[in-house]
Amino acid sequence: MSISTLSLYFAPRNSIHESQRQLVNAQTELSTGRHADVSLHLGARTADAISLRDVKDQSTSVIEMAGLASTELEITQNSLTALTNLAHQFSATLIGARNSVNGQEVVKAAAKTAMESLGAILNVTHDGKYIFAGINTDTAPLANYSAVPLSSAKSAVDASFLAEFGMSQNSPAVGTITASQMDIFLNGNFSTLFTPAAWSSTFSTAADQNRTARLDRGYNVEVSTNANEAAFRDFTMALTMVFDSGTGALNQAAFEKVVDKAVTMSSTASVDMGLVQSKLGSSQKVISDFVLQLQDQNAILTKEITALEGVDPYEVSTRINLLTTQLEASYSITARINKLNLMNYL
Amino acid sequence: MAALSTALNIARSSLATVSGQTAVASRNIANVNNTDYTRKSAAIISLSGGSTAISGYNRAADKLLLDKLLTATANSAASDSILSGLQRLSETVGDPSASSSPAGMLGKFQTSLQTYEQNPSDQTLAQNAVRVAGDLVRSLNAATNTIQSVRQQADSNMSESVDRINTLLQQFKVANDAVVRGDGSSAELSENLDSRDRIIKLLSEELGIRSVTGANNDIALYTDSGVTLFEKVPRTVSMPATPSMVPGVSGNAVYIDGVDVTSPTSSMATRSGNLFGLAKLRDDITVVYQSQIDEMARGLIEAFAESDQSAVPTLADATGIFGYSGSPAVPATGTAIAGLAGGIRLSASVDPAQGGDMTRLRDGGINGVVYNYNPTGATGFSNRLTTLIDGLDTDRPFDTTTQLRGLSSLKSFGTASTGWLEAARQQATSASDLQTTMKSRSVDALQRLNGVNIDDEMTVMLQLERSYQASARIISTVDKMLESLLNAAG
Amino acid sequence: MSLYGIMRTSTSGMAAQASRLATVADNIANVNTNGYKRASTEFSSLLIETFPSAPDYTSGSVLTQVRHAVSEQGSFQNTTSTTDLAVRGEGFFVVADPSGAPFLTRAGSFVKNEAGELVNAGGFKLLGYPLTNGQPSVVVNGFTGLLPVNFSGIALTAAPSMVGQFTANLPSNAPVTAAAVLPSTNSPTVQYSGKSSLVGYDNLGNEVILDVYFAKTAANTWEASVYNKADATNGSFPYSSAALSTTPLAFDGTTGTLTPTSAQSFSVPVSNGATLVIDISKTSQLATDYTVLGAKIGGNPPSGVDLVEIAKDGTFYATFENGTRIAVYKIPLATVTSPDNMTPLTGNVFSATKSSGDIEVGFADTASFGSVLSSTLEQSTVDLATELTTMIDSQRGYSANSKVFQTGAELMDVLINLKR
Repeated sequence: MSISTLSLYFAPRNSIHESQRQLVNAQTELSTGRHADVSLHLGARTADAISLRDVKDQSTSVIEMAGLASTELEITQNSLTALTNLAHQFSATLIGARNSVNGQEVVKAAAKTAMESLGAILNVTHDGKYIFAGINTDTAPLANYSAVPLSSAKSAVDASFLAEFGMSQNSPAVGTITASQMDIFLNGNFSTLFTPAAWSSTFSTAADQNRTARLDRGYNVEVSTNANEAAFRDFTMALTMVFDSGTGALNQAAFEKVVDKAVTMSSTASVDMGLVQSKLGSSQKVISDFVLQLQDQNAILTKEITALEGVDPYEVSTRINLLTTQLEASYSITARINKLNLMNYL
Repeated sequence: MAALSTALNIARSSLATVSGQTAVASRNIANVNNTDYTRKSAAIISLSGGSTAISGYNRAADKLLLDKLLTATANSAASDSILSGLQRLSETVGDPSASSSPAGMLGKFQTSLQTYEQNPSDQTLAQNAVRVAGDLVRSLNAATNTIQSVRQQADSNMSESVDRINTLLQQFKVANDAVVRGDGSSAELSENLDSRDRIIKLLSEELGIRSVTGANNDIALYTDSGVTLFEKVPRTVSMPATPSMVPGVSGNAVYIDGVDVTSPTSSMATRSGNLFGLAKLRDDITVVYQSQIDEMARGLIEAFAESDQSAVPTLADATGIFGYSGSPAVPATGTAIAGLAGGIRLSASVDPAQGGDMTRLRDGGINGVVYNYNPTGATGFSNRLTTLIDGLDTDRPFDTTTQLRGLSSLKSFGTASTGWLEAARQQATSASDLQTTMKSRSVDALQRLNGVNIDDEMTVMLQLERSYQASARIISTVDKMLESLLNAAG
Repeated sequence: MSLYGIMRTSTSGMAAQASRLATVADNIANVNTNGYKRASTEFSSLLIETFPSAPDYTSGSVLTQVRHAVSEQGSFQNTTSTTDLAVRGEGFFVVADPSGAPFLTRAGSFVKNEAGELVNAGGFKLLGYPLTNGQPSVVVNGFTGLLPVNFSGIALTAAPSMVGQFTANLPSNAPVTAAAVLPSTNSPTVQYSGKSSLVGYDNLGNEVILDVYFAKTAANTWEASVYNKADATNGSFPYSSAALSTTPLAFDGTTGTLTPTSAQSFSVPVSNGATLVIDISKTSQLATDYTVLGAKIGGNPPSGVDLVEIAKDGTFYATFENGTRIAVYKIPLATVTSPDNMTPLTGNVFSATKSSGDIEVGFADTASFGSVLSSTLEQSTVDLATELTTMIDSQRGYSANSKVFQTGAELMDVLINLKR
């Protein structure tokens, strides 16, 4: 049976079309390192590819934000360390000045400096956020105690003092306050000013709620502390009682009561600060561990995505060579077929 | 016997036969590039007395090969139209690396929420999250538009296909009548057979065809499912086009001879051809894919719905940043709402472009203060965002008409939908490749049998030329003989 | 007296050669006349009986007899007209002159005249038996029942569908259709496993499309219902009138064919038409899809004759514009015992004579009759070379006879000159 001229001409033409199409695909694959039509190649596994990329994107975003959180935590830790040092220093000053001549003047001045340092530290901002404000990141957690006009904290202390002793702290009569009276005041009305509820309404504008970071589904870590923590309240209490409970004109016994109480509160505070630090430290550890885990995971994901979508460059270049050879053969066959015509020999 | 006259007569008939054969050969050569042409050869008979005549024209036709080609053509047309529809649908998905699919957009949205959640006081991040939410909404809207335009296109293609079938059947009647009338030996008859075969080939692109040859070479046509298409006269093929395809509205079925041939429920539905592919695209693939996209939209609305934050909640849940025409009521869970993805929108009270407050994404309260999760307005509040992010990964019920898992997270539902579509496309591509190969093989096989080989024809022409010369020589010889006889008589 | 005898004998010889030359002239004149049968002359000697003892010989004369080689087969020539006919083998076409007298001829170049009759070059009409009323009854030795073949009378005919055949395979695995939704109920929600439509014709040739529905009623049991499509609502159920016919079909579960006791056909009363009996005996029930294997319904719509086809047995088919082909005439062939003894008459026709024997009428391809060839003409049996040779021969013969006559005349002169 003779083959029709048309199919004789068509046979190489069809194969040329197919080869050219494959060649274009192969060239795309070689330049991108991925399949020419990834979705088509993967079919149902496109879902996997999208999931993997999504997981990778999520992890990358978690890693990025973990970096930010770590920075904040670092700052918080440094601040806490500074505060602890401040508390220790203040205690030392107190103890040193307890029985010295102008001890009252010394401690009052020390308390004032320490209060300013405390304010500066707790009101530290990073990236526009007050990092000790809990979730109330837009307001400075601690108002300036000695600000003009009167801060709410100062007026509350003034009111409490007036109610207890019937005079202001600046009154020359404060020297008449006995040690036991002072003791009652400090452990009574004065200390109620530093209960969490009273504290939040007078001293602090921070939120009790700490900021959290979501690491994974249902896996959140706290990435901040707030100025309402006992450590800060206690330390502020120590500073306030030294600074503003008539210190300067108190009799020695009452002064000693104040100093003793302040030392106690100060050391409680530094212990509590240690607790806050360790809590945040564990958050830091959790985050850095998780980031390491995510980085490992990302490396694996990248490999998996490449395995799904990628092509073997050696295979592709071999394929290109084959296709080129095939095309050349097809061209030469076509040329020969065109020459192969009885007409040319008649 | 009257020898000289007979010799002249035979030579004369030989000349006539040779010129007839030459005509056939030149017709063959003229049609060397016509794939619908069947090679002809003249059938020569010798009459009593030794003269020859052309008794008819043989076509190199093979019904089996033609039937094979028809089946292959119909299958190839079906898979091609399904594939081209799926190609367009896969525009809604794009390359996995571009994350342009609704599923990819969902992932991007989650990432943007995640970033925002980490830094909830940052307005830029809020803006970014709301922008990505808008992109997500637009990608769902666009997917719906694409799906519906594919359906619309399929519907109008079906309508065009029906028109084409009707036209072809009319042409078929003309060709068939000519064949039935013909006396079986004229040259026109074989041309009529060619044109009838050509029409059948064209018809088989539109739908699966079976032909039954009866008396006088009369052909009756049936669909592959047995519905009468043509028997003496063409049967009516009808399908009113649907002017505007919207989700949930099913297109009209194609009726042939009063029988529904495109609904899958019909006992006589056609199983191949362009019409079948388009109907599958219009009534099955796009409908399922639309329901998947709709369910994604519904899942999104559900995941972002907000609830009454009073100590003793009394109010029903209400739609959050993603709203739809039925807002604020939250759609019933696990039940697809046709066309929801086309109507999903970003709530105006969140969208800054519409004067909304984007912090509502963080705090809630789109439906009033009782729905506010952050009544103090703390700028570092992130619990709501955490819940929302987790909500994308939480398993929730989906409608099973989507042909995907009934219980999965919104994100895995989205990627599963993409996987479903790409699996369908992959399968359609390989089916189309296979059917195209089958078709080109059938064409090749038929061409080998039917096609014209120029070399063959040229050789035949050479033979004919010689034969003509010989006959002419006989005539001149006889003429000389008679001349000498006449001279003798003179 | 023998000298006179010589002259008379040579005169008869010249006359004989002249006749022979005359046949040559006729033959050469008709060298291209289709259906012409060569004439030839045969001579026989006529001697005067003399006694062997008689001293002198008296010359006789020659007797001329003209023969027509009527039974000689002429060679064929192809033409492009289907009504150019030739007979291969024995037999003659029966033709009639304008007065209706029948003759036989081999000259078959018929063309339609203004009355639609087929007339040959000699003006004779072709005779045949009309088939419109069934098979003709042939009178073997006469021309009774023969009419001029005429196509104008059958310009428009319509035949109602009477019989049909429908063969299909019904899917054996089809679900059983509930009784309430069988097609025979004509309810709008009917279900069925297969449907086909068939075109039939009523008495006036109107197209009637019959919708045939097949539904499975139980295992191996089916029901076929036939409706008139014209009654359909939007091409389907419900029809405005009940089923034209509903037939239960029972299949053999082993072979898949209809059981012998099952209905083998259904009768469909076509409105204003005949009762159409559709034979379905070959319908099967096998495990494959509904497949139509063949459908044939008789009858034809009114339409004009498009083509005439002539079969080898002499049947004339009229092919209508819609493709329907019906046999309208059958032409007989006639012959006589001795065709060569028939009298040739003007127009290439022959008439039977006493010596040719009686006429015998029959059909082509039967008994000793040859077959009828369409688009073919039988050429003259004259061969130019033979005729020219005969002519030369005759010329010489004539010259020789005249020489004899001349010699006789010269001898007479000598005799006359004896008396001075």
